[in-house]
Amino acid sequence: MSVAAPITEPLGSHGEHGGDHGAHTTATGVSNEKLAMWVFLGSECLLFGALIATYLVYKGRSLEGPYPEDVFDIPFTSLSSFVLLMSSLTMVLAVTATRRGDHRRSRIWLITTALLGAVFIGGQIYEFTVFYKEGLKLSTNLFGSTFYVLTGFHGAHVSVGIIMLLSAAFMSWRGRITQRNWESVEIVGLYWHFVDVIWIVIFTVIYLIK
Amino acid sequence: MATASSTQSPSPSRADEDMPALGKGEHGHPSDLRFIGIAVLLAVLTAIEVGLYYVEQAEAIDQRANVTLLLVLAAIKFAIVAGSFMHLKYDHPQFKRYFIGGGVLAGFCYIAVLAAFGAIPPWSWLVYGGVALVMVVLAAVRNKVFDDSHGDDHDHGDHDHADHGAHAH
Repeated sequence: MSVAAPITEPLGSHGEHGGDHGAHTTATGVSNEKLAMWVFLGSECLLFGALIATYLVYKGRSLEGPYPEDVFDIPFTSLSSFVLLMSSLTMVLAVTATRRGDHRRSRIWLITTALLGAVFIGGQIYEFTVFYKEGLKLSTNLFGSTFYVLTGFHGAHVSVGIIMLLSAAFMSWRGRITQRNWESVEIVGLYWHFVDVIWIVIFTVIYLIK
Repeated sequence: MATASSTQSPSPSRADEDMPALGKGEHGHPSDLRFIGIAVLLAVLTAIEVGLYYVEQAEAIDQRANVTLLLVLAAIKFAIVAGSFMHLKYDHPQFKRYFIGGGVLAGFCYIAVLAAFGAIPPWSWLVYGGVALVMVVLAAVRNKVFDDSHGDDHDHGDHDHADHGAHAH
């Protein structure tokens, strides 16, 4: 009954078209949506590479404080990093659950991932307010400018990722994500894992390397 | 329609067939338990990184060695997340080429910028170049090993082209 696919399909639900008519094969032999996401992530690598490089160029060149060692709370940030790391785990569990057809569990994992992401963002906001109270503003010194821009951009990406996760969970709840178009969740997962990977680099380069 | 429904029956085997290039050498996706194990490994590596920070603070380790270790650990974590969680290891080789190739080139670009501004010492070139070379060699060896047992890219492409009429785009 629901075999005939509607004209407008959610992202990734290309199974029916290709399977029935073989008319939507791609030139590369891989999913266009997935390829687009990987290319987009490549461009994001360049963006964050530029921001990290800018931070490194200006590192140690601030004329006045506060300096990194004055404000950084490594234990707290380590906890934030752990939360984001675990969100990557819950994300991949959501993808495998969707792939298996276990949509209820998939929604649970998607919402858990979004919650963990929100906890991370909350930690970032708390950290920013503490830094601000200690006198580190965007215009205070080179460290403030580069740090806030870099981590702010990352936080914005995490926030967008949370919206994507909640959207995916909602679509799953509405029955729009099936085992045929489970790739939609995988594509959201790619974005989320990338955000985690970038934090791995940021945490190491910005916080841990003096 | 009957044909469509039969091709669309959501069975794990069908989902497996739909998966493009189920990993060279990997048959099927890792289990949830394996992903949990990978997450535990990542947490341990993060703990080691934080430990190195405090070790350096106690001046028990040379700064150069500490920086190298931290960068290596970060690279390992990056590779684990990209390979396992992002399924790069199990997916079509094209994704791997675009991502890794672009990443390595971007890395050289930013290393050049940093060196031009004097933000990194000259020996960083060697470390980065060495790490990139090792990654490329390992990837090539791994691809060669699994190519021999599972066929080359053409086979993948043809296989995908034929079987991903259902999955493609």
